[in-house]
Amino acid sequence: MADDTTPETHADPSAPTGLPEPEVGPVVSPTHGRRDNPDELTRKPLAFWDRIKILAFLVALFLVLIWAQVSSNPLMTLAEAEKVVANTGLGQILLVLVMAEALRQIHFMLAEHAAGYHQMWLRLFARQERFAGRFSPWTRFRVSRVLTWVVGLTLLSMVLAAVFDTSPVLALFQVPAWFIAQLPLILQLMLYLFIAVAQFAMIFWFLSRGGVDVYFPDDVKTRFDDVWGQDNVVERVRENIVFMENPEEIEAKGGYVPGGILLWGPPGTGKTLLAEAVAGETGKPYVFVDPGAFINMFFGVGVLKVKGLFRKLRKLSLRYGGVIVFFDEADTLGSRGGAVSQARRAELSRERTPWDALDGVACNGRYYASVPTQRYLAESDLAAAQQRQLFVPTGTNNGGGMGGMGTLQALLTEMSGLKKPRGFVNRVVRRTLGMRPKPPPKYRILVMMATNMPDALDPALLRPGRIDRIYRVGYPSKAGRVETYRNYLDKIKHEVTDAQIENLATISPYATGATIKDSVNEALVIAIRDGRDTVSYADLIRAKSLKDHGLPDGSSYVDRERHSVALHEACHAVVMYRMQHSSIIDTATIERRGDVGGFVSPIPIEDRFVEWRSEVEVDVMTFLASLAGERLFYDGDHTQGVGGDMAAATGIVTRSFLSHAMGPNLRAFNAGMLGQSGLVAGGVPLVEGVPFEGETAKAVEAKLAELYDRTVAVLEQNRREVLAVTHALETHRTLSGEDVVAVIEGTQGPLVDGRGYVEPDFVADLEAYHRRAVEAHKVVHERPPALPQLPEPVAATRPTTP
Amino acid sequence: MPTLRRVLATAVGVVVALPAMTSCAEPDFRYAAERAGSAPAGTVYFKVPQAWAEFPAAQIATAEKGWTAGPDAAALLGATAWQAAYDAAPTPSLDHVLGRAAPDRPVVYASLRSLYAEEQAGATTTALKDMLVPVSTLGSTVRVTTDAAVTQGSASGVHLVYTYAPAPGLPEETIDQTAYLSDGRDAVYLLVVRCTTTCYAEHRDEIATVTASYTIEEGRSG
Repeated sequence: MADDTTPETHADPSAPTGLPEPEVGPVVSPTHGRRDNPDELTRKPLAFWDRIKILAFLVALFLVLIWAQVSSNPLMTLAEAEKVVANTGLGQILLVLVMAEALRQIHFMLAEHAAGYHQMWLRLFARQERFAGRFSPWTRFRVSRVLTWVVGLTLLSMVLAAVFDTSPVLALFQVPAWFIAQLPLILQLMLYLFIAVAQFAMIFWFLSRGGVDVYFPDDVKTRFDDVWGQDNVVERVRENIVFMENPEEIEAKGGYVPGGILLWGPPGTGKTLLAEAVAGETGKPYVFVDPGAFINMFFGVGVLKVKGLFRKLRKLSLRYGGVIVFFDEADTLGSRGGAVSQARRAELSRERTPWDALDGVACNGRYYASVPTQRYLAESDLAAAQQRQLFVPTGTNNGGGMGGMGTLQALLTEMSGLKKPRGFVNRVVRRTLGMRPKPPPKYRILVMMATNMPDALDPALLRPGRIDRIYRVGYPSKAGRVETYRNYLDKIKHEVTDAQIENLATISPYATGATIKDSVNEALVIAIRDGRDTVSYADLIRAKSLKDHGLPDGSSYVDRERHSVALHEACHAVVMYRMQHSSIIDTATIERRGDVGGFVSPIPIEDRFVEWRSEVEVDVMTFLASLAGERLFYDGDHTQGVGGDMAAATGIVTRSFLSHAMGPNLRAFNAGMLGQSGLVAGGVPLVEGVPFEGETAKAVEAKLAELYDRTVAVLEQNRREVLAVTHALETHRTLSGEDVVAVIEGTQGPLVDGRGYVEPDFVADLEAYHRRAVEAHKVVHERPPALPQLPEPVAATRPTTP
Repeated sequence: MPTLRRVLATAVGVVVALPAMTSCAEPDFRYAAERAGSAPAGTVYFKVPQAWAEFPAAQIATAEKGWTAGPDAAALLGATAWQAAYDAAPTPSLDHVLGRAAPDRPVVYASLRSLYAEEQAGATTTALKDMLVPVSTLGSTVRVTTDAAVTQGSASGVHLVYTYAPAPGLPEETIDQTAYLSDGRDAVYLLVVRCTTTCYAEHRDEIATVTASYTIEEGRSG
């Protein structure tokens, strides 16, 4: 529109005005505000008040000054005061302003009455707009910036001229001298400010110290050979160390050194030990980060700690060519604190043992079904899982934010942030000189983390680039356990043979390195208590029993009850030994431990996840053995102690009928399908709050009766064995599995010599003792008989098989 | 436009125009005022014609230091809380004010000085009269034309006009001296107008304006 000489006062109403840009504001009419009558050519008349308000204000100010003069000098008259004010600087400025304002108002009045005058001004303004519009916005900005500076400096110089009492130009030049003269005061003020800020900075710095230990190459004596039972993990970790030593090997071929390792697994399996071994083997410094180091009181202290830690790591890596940092219990730091309640955490951290198979694991046959079917099955599985949970996960932070408040974010950034150039000289100076800043050198930092709750870790932490390798450090295999036992025993004096070590390894399927070490130590303590300094197999067995089951209460049964309890457990033990082939007896005891009376505990020989129907029946028979045995040996009477056994037996049978199709019907349900049922301990489902009845109940009852008869038959065949084990339990109170086997077979066990139990005379004594015990049981005040003594074994004729 | 608004507009216009027209003129007088600071609490006002030149207080102090000698004089200067000086001559100079020779155009000197404790006892009317020239002792060489006791508020003093010849060869001089002693007898207010006798006769009216305007307000803090 550069050649447009007519102003846009006659806007054509029918011409499109174009869409206004968003956020620009209301559209300004081209007639400069004459919204009332667009055809008018004159300026819109101002309201009266608008016209005089500025003038009035200035006049009022002038009058105020006059008044100030009069009131401060008794000799002053009004006329004189007015003249005096008019001769002062401020008065003159006001007069100038008044005249300017008067001129402006006259100009407006003219524009309101004379169209030609108004249009001339509009054309002038339009021309000015076009002139300014020729320049780019950037140019206009720069020009206005210069003008602002000039005006600002001019004003400043006038002010300074008044302050310094010289000419404006000289006043400007006097500013530096004045500044230097004021410098002591300014520095003093800055010192106060610095102290105020430094207080907080010092507190934060102080709080952010600590929690990090650095071990230098020779400090750590652990080696990979000291880690037993985790050979495959050790191999992989060793490989990582090789990469750290020779990074060029992989980088020359185009790869990169993996930077992070996560070790997860149940507690005590050697994760921290493995990290220490790494430290010992590499010859690089090893930084151990205490998990509590990042729990902080103030926001931001954790962030400072993380940053300080990584600064230290970078320094160390540059100096030593690499560094290893180990975060123990990484879930305190690495969880973003979400909906993970306490119970859920407990469940997450629980290791899945085969006993969890009792919860209804099944072969994953879902993939054979169609998709909607799979979906339905998944939903009912979810319902089942939800019933298992103790609490619904809540949305509270619940301490998951322990390392929170930005610490995790800082850690994530430091582990794989931008490789940004660091340093003042690097960034600022080089850029000023036109050079690009140098990228930082490659820092060889290996991050190792250990946790037993990998599910609680934030997924952002686990992505490749931060944690490249995730290794499970689980329970050691049998070979690993054997090796561990042997190595720990070799550190002390012992007389345990290799076969016995193998036995030990077999009967401790979920032992970790820590628990094995603990058992060996406990065995040593037992030996010392006995006055010996050499650990024997018996000590180890006792120690293991102590660790697994705890210390017995020390309270003992009265004699008559002792016999019945021993008989009860003996029946379990004998049936278990004779019928179960997938597990062996670990311990049989009649000693009370808290709420638990006697028990017989089995150990699976091998890890299996599903049982056959015949094996389930044997399980049930083991449970039924107590009822069968008591009725058999006590002439039809039995104790309340069979309640738990019977409930377990019923539950197993019911579940196998309902869920595993082991009954007369083909149909099977999982817990979700049974609706709003809660699972009572023992696995008996309640359907709508009522124990189930009907056809399934009858089938279960029939099955139990059948198995009961079979159990009675087994016990009748093993009468001698039952009585023998009863006697042994009454004598020794706690028997290891091998001792139970020894008693049943009549051989020498590790602690108990069972050879006497096959002597016919002693067997007759046992029968007689039992008969008298039964009679005493029938008559309350009859004194119970004395326990017969086991005779000395006949050494010569019988082969002593251990 | 409605009548009321017309009237208001005219009034505003007048109020705006009048000062604009009259302010081109300068005030007729210079107003001297002392704002009380620490020592004697009293404020002094007087006015002198606009044409007379004013000397800044710093300049007077510097000149006085050069003029007087001796530690007593210095102590005296230190006791001066305020002083002002004016000169009607075309080429104003402090020599006219502080020098021994009488100037041929009127000069004004005013001061406010605090009295030491030992001086306060001897502060009598005679002492006030003798502040500049020992009038009471000089006898017939001094011709006193006006000797009046004056009071302003609680301050009292004396207004003296006298003529004397300072030294042979120097023209006769007329001094118009007004001195007040403050109510607490701890300060002395002084106003001196002096010039040659002929000059005094010529500028009698102007000098009268100056001395008539001399106002003291005791107990008022600026």
